[in-house]
Amino acid sequence: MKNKGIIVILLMITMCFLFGNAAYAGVFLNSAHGNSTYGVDRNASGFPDDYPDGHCAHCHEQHASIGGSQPAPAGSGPSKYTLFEENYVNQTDGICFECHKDVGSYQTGGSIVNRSYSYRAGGWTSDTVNDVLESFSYTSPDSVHSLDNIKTFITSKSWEYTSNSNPCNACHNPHAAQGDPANAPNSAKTTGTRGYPVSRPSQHSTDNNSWGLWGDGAGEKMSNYTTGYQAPYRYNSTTTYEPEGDTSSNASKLTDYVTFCTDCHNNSNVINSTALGRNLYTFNWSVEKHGGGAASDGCSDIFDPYYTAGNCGSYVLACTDCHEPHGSPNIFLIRKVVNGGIVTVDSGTGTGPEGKLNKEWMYLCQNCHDGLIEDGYHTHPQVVPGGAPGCSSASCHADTNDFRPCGECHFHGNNLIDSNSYGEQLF
Amino acid sequence: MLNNILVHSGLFRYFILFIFLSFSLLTALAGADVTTGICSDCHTVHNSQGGDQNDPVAFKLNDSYSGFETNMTPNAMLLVSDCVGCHTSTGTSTIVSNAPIVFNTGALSNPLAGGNFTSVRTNDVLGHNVTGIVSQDGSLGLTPPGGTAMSSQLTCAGEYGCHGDRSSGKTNFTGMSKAHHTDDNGGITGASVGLSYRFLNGVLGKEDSDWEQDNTNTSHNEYNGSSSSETDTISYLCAQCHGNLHTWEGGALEVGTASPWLRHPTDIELKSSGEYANYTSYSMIAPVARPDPDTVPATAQVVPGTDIVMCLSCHRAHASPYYKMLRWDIKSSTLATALSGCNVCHTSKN
Repeated sequence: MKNKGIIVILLMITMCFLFGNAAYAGVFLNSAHGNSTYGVDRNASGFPDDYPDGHCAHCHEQHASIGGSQPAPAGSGPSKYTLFEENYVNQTDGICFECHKDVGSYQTGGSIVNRSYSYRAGGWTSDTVNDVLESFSYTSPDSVHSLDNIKTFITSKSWEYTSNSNPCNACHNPHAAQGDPANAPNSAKTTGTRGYPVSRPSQHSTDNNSWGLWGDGAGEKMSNYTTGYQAPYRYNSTTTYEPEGDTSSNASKLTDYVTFCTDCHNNSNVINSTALGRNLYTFNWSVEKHGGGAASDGCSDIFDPYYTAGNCGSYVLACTDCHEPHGSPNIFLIRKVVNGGIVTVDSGTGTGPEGKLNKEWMYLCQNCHDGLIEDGYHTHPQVVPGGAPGCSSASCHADTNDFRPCGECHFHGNNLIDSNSYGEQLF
Repeated sequence: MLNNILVHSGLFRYFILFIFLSFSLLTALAGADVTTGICSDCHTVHNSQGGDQNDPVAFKLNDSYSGFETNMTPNAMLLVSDCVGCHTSTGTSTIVSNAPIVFNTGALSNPLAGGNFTSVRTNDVLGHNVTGIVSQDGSLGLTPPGGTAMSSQLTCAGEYGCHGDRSSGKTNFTGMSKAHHTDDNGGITGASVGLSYRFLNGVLGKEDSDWEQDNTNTSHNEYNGSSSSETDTISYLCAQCHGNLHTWEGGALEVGTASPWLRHPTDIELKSSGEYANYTSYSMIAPVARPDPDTVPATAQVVPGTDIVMCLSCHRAHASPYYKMLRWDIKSSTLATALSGCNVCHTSKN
């Protein structure tokens, strides 16, 4: 009995050594920016080189000068939020991009490497995109998350964003965001390198106590959003799964990105897209077929891991299973790698598999939907509800080499075929 | 002022006299006024004793800062020494005969609220470069950050100083005229130099009797602050040289008028919302000013939404061991320590 007591005491002491620091550090000190080893560390003319890594002074100049002179970059004067550069200028210019780029970064070393989601979660390590500025610099026909459009939208909400806000802060709390993987920019995520980079825009606050990370806590995982989440395969693998590359699907490994993204992208928010020249389609993910709604096609035309997992008809995807958050070489921020396979969609109407026109979307869809490949087209109803011709009619496919683009019907929020109600969601 | 030179020189007798009389004279100095006592403690009529002009009474800090030496040149106001001479010690104590010591030439214990000029002797960035203590700033020259160039090096008082009457032509001596003789028992009103907080002309405040030597939040200076453009605040005084760094002097173009600020604001209320609401226990690391220093309900407490952010929330007035005269070690290799001052107000950024 006495020995047990000693063991307990020794264990408690050990715990203190192991977790003492972690318990002391707050949200900022646990963030990527506030890390004392690899956090913010500005290297600029006129700026002291002996501030500790992670110190706020690397980004915030209390007096917009040091010793009466403004350190580089010496702009036209003091900047809002006491930042060393303008908080936000445009899609490729602002305080974040002064460091988050691979050439000319003010971060000591001159570069900060940040990889795409396809690289980090999908394991597609041949992706050459290696910094955030590059991710946001894609031009048509590629796609980016428009920072101007984000800013317009978030300032329209009652989320404490203002015209001075940085749209990067719609998704990231700069005083909390962690690397994911943390401090391993040239590796895909592993169990031991996980971090949590996002914070929900609807919870935005300047108070870290109110605006914490999303995904790091209980109740913030995909396993909490649904019992129907199946992690996709990693790139070129049928044995390892996103996001950590482990050998079994685990919905608790992925942040509940549905709840996160649907803060903005839902069935009520009106979000204008300058690139598309229209408002984004609104949708209710809880009823979409790829979301919480029932999918009636069963397992006959579904690839693994979804087929083998045997939960057909009930799967719920996470937004990041298909979309990149920053930018993509595909349209609509479609990832370059989805469920282990490469995706190339430049227009949706281009040539697809087998050289057939308008089948370009199949490069995406075929990574999960088997029927598309075997038959060249999937089985559509002969007649859509209301008696109008279905998609198998000559009006849709007058020539077997001429297919209608998948995206004409299968997009978020749609239940219409040629303006006729299909009676259920088509995406 | 106890040092070997005194002991081995003819000044020793005056030193003993000075110490002896100080007990009777300076015990009344808690409020910094000298309304009673013996004149010769501070003044010398002929700067000589017994007709020997080669044995002057006046003294000054010697060139090596190791002690004091006689001064053949009489001081203005018939004073036995100047500001530095009286408020300097070669010992470690920061209060000598109830007089505040702002410059200990060597090691010291328990620096006073304004900090100790000893730091700036070795590094310009650690303090104000005051004449008589250190030469002008090698990097800044005569231009204070956030202000315009002065035509002469900073002094303790007068036109180029912080204390006393800062009118054109005023010196350490003339700027402080009558200040030490003013009876301030009626309170700090700012009506004259002698009735101003720490002889900072026109500034209000409440003076801690031990100049915060005990460094405790239950008894400390109460600084005057304002969330409007009042001119009787401690920060407004700083702004007379560092104007662009002060909310109301810098204005919209230099500091801004509300969040998002262009520079860290001073003389504004500590917000009562968000993370700021958690700053409720008065911190000696990052203290706040009060809108009315004479009616502070609880000295050890801070009231967000009422109390005021000031220059001295982050800086010492004289000097400190830390970069830019800060109140904490902003360059500590331990990040939590380097942020410790910021985190007093920015409570969730830890």
